[in-house]
Amino acid sequence: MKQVEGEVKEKKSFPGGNFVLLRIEGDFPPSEPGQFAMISPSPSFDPFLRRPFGILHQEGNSLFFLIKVVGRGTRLLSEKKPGDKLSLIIPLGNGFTLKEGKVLLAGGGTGIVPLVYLASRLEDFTLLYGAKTRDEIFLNEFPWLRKRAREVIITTEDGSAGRKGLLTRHIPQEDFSCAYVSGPWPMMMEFARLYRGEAEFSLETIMGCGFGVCYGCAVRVRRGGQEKIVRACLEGPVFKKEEVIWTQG
Amino acid sequence: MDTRIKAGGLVLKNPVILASGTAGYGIELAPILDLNRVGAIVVKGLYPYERQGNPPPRLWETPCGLLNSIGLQGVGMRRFAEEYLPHLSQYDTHIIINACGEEDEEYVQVVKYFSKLPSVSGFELNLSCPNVREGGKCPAMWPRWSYEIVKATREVTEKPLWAKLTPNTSSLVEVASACQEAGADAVSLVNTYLAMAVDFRTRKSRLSTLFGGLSGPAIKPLALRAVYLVASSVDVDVVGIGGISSGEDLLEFLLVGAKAVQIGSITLREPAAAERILKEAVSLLEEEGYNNFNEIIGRFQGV
Ligand SMILES: Cc1cc2nc3c(=O)[nH]c(=O)nc-3n(C[C@H](O)[C@H](O)[C@H](O)COP(=O)(O)OP(=O)(O)OC[C@H]3O[C@@H](n4cnc5c(N)ncnc54)[C@H](O)[C@@H]3O)c2cc1C
Ligand SMILES: Cc1cc2nc3c(=O)[nH]c(=O)nc-3n(C[C@H](O)[C@H](O)[C@H](O)COP(=O)(O)O)c2cc1C
Ligand code: FES
Repeated sequence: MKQVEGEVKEKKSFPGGNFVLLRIEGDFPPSEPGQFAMISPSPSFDPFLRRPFGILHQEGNSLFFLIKVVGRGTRLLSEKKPGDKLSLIIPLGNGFTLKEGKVLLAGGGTGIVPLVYLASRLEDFTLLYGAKTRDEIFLNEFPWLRKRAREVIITTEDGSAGRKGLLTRHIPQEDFSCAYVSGPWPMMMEFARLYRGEAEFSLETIMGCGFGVCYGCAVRVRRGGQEKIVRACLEGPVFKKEEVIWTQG
Repeated sequence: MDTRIKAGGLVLKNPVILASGTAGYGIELAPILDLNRVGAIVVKGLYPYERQGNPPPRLWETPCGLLNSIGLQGVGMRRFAEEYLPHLSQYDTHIIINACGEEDEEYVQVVKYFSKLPSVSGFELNLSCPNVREGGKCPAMWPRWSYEIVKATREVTEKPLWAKLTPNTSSLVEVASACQEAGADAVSLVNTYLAMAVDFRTRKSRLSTLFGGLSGPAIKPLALRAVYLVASSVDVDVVGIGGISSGEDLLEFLLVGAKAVQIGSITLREPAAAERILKEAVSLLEEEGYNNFNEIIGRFQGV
């Protein structure tokens, strides 16, 4: 884990203005798929905390992020311009465990982020990628994904691209050595209910620090027959299917 | 510059201490913060036993600060001593145990347990944690109760003993005074301010609890006043805490009478904040022609 000052080198905005793709350059330590960064939206104290973002890709001295605007911090980040400086703490969290054989990547919305990075390390995968509508599908940004995937299944809730309906209605009925799942909580919960095989889930929780000191990122998990509260930033964000307790709170 | 100071029965290499609960067990910060550079580390609150804390959500960001209801999740005193202390004690800094209890007797258990360990420099009694005796209220709301716990723990340790006070009381000065009478070497203040956040849409609390504790730069002016009030009227060392995020903040707390300060929430956004704050404070002092920190402690000139 290192705190690094990066510089925004490229920014791509999309129609609607709710998503941005950032390329940030800096002297970053290497990361693994499923790990994340804590990025400070502002050098001022308001907003005070950093925000967690999955690593979309890392190459040379560049890190790539896909950010959806949902509140103040993400709005400020979406307004950054090439040349702007950003403070990042990376790499954080455990990351996915790589499995041999054919695997399934299932990503909903910005949940696609860690899976894109994971796909770059995989030989044999099927990609299941769902969003609300076609403008929220970013497959064209990663042309190599379609080339390398055994199969790509796109789903949109309004049917504007790919198959219509929720992603979880289109889970391929094949055997995979592992499914890697990332997306909104209800989507992952439904996926866990329907999917029989081995699976890993990347959970999103509110985070105070991202590196294990505040205990703000608590999630309840099942371990060794017991329920435990663990820190999602250190012991996660990736958890095995049998560990996750889907009704928190 | 000689940065050493004396506070609460300890000689610290500098007045910057990592506050409890925002520095974990210390070692989590080691990749970014050089722990050898801080005056002391107050570890996350410890009970005699392991604790799960409150259910999520436990944090809510507020303007220039945050609300937390962590509920003192922690590994408990034995696991801390076995798994964390051996690593932490390799650093050249003081380790201070933040002792907690749901019952008065638990403070005594924690203090007794660590009292015999040479790697522990002293104790900070977290008198601001919920106690079963008054239905979840904390001892530091009342002078009498604070006195009893300080007294009982004083009897089982020779090591420096600090009492950490809550600002959520109308008797702050009386509580500090009671701690001093009971034998505390210092009082540290403030712990977080009780506050709340609600969600208009769900009509519920933003946290899993009704109230949380407010911390960060937002509380600095409140904390500064609390430290001033205690330092100017009670004959006890005061360790200042609350929203400190720059070298200048640190010096302001020393001016109104604090002997040392603790760095809390700022560490969450900036893991090496303690080092920066010390550096800033030293250069400010040098610019103004001071030779050490002692020359400004308590030198506030009023209006
Ligand atoms: C491991 C991890 C990876 C993530 N990866 C991505 C990604 O690649 N792209 C992306 O767009 N988003 C990602 N998120 C979600 C992103 O962190 C939140 O959308 C963001 O923090 C919201 O900040 P805000 O200031 O815009 O929202 P506000 O609602 O104004 O934030 C208020 C507070 O709540 C927290 N918060 C709100 N929503 C979330 C959330 N869903 N998860 C965590 N904290 C939240 C904020 O950090 C902040 O402390 C990820 C979250 C986690 C935990
Ligand atoms: C996430 C979090 C956890 C905390 N845990 C503890 C604790 O275990 N024991 C304690 O005495 N104080 C605890 N505190 C209080 C801090 O040590 C400090 O007194 C308070 O946050 C005010 O300082 P600040 O504004 O610099 O953060 C905690 C604060 C935060 C934000
Ligand atoms: S976010 Fe602070 S401990 Fe996980």
